[in-house]
Amino acid sequence: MGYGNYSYEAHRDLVEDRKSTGQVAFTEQRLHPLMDPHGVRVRESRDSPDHPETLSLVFALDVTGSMGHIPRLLSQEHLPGFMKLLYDCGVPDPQLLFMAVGDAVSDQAPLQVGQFESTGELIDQWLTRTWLEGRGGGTNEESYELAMYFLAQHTELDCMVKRGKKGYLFMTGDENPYEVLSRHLVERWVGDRLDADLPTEAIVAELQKSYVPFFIVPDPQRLGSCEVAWRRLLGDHLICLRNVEDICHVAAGLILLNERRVEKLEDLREIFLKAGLSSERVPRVLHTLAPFATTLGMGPPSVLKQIGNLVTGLLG
Amino acid sequence: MRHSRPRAFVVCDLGFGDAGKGLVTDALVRRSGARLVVRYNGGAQAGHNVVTPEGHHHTFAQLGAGSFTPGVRTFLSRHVVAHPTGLLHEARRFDGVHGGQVLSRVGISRGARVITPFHQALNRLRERSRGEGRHGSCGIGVGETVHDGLLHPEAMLTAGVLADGVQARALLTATRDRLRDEAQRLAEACGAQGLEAARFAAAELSLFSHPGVIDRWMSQVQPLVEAGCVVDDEVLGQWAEGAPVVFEGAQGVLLDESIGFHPHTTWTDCTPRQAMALIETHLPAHAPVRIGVLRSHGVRHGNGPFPTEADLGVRVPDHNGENPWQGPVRYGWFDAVLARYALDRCGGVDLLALTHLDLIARRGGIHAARAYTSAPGHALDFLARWLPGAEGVRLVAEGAGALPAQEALGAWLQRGVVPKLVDLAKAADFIAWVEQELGVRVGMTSAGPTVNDVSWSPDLAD
Repeated sequence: MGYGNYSYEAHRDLVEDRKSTGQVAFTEQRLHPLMDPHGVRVRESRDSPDHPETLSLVFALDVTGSMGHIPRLLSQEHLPGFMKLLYDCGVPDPQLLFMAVGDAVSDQAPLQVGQFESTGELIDQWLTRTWLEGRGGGTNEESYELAMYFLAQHTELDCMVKRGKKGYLFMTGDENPYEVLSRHLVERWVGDRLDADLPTEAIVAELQKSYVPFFIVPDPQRLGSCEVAWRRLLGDHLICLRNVEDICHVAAGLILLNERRVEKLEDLREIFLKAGLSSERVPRVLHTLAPFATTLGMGPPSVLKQIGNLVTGLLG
Repeated sequence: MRHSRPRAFVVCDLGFGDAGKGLVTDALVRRSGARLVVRYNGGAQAGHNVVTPEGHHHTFAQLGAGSFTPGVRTFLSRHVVAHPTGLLHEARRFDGVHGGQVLSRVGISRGARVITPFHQALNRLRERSRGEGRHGSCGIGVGETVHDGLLHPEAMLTAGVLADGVQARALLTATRDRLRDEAQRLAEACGAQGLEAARFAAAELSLFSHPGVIDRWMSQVQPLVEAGCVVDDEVLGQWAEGAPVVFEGAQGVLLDESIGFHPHTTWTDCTPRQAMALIETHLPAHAPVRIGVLRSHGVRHGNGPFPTEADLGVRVPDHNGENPWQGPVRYGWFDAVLARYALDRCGGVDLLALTHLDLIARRGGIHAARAYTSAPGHALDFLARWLPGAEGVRLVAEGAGALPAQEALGAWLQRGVVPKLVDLAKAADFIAWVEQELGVRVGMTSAGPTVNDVSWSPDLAD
């Protein structure tokens, strides 16, 4: 046991005890009034003297039963370092909004919305305020479309308004969205009175005017139940993680690729290594990003092309 | 020689700590029949190792190093900065290995300051935010607690308050709110040092944002209150049982807040002073005997001046190896100049205890610094008072004890001096040389880890 630092052990117990019981964040037992989207006109992501070139990012986390561990993991392990990671990757002023998504039909708080924040500590506050209701519908559908509706209608991004640059949405989940968003549910949860129900496709189209949305499935086992619907809505913006702990690095990679801050997927290797990602995890993250990179024409060279090059080389 | 009055031994490290106070305390308890060990300074960061002749080992942090002797009690005086949950951890570890219920032999003064989780988190954040520039603190929060107590004496949580749940919670809440901004600032500084530091900072910082922490901590310290460990200072006289008492010091005089070399110091009085005051107040019938502890060589954990630092060429058997907060252990030659300085500034001792003498035989002799010469471009005036044969020389270190002067002295020791070494072939030569150089008799020596390796001079032989 080395140096007999019992007080250190006691302190570690206190910190880890809270970790194991999930109390680091998510202590709320009901919807926190500051996270209630009802009546909110707009959530703003603004430039400031400290952060003159904001890039707006949204993490919308499915907090229903089967996905409930992901917000904990994010808040305890990954989000604290995510902002730093983005700085390291050359994104100067990221602003992050945290949302929690549930089921508008059966949950008491199907949508919880924080504020855009620029520091890990402030984001952590919103994570703390989030209520992990942990129910969900059991219908293979969650109200992802309600979250997308809110973002499309009730956020204003300086990156978009001033610089014509879209923000990013990373929505985690493992179920389908409802095909239509009922106007009654919109009025009940957000407070807007609509003339008609909204098809989810129309919401996505509206959302894409100001955001680049990604739907992120935490592991390949969960992909089957929701792949068809999300492929139809988002195409190659459906991302499936090999391991859920990669989520922040994958999100950072998606931004860098889409912003074309790197020339090709392979360039991310060094960036991730420099940012402290272990050399074992780098290949997994790159592998996860490969399909999206390929669509952008930044992917790894295809096998056919490699063979072609080889043949050319031999002949030449 | 018979003593009409029972003696109160005050064990005081004259170096940078790690001199062997655990062994000396354990040996004095066994030899003198003392029933009580009193901690008179420092706090939970102590690491005093004791190995028994039967091979049992414990690193004593808050339990007194006499605890291996059945029935011997520990009293943590009001000058100790206590860590209740750390103490419970230590007691569990001790009981788990050695049996018994050691807590039934522990008392904490009601007036002892208590380290809160917020002080500890702040300390850890501060250490981490400094990156490489650590100052050798153990990440427990002693310094933060003392410093905060100086600024807000009325808001200090003391052991006596722990039993009053309402007041304790109020003080904890106020402490948390008072320290939060600083914690936030330090966490941001950590965030600039990479992902791992940011993660570390987030975990520590989260202590400040979650209301459950205080309840959790209060329920963790409850066993200490229920075991009746919090007591009035008056028990000292009763617990002494008319037998000798051993006052076990922590740290070392060269780490003392006003004698050590700022900023490589600790927030505590490392001289025998506080022990002497406790004896005068609570044990008036006891005759104090101050025992200054030194190794046959120099040792220091972490950063800071160490003029005689050198490769000793042999492995030093040490329990106090590297720990993540103090950094690696460093060794060097015995330094009579610094020992004179320590003796002079701490008010002197009555006897010396020299430990690790076996090292001299193992390496076939040893070097020791008798004096310094100045490095090029530096003068020795600053140190004149503690150089050999310089009695009566003026005290050049004007304003000694003030932080700038201590810092300047430290800088001199790091850059301005070159030790002048003498060779001593045998342990007996070393002992005689030390007595002559320091002008203090050696009362006990050790040549191994246990009480069986201790030799006693006539001064302590009865």
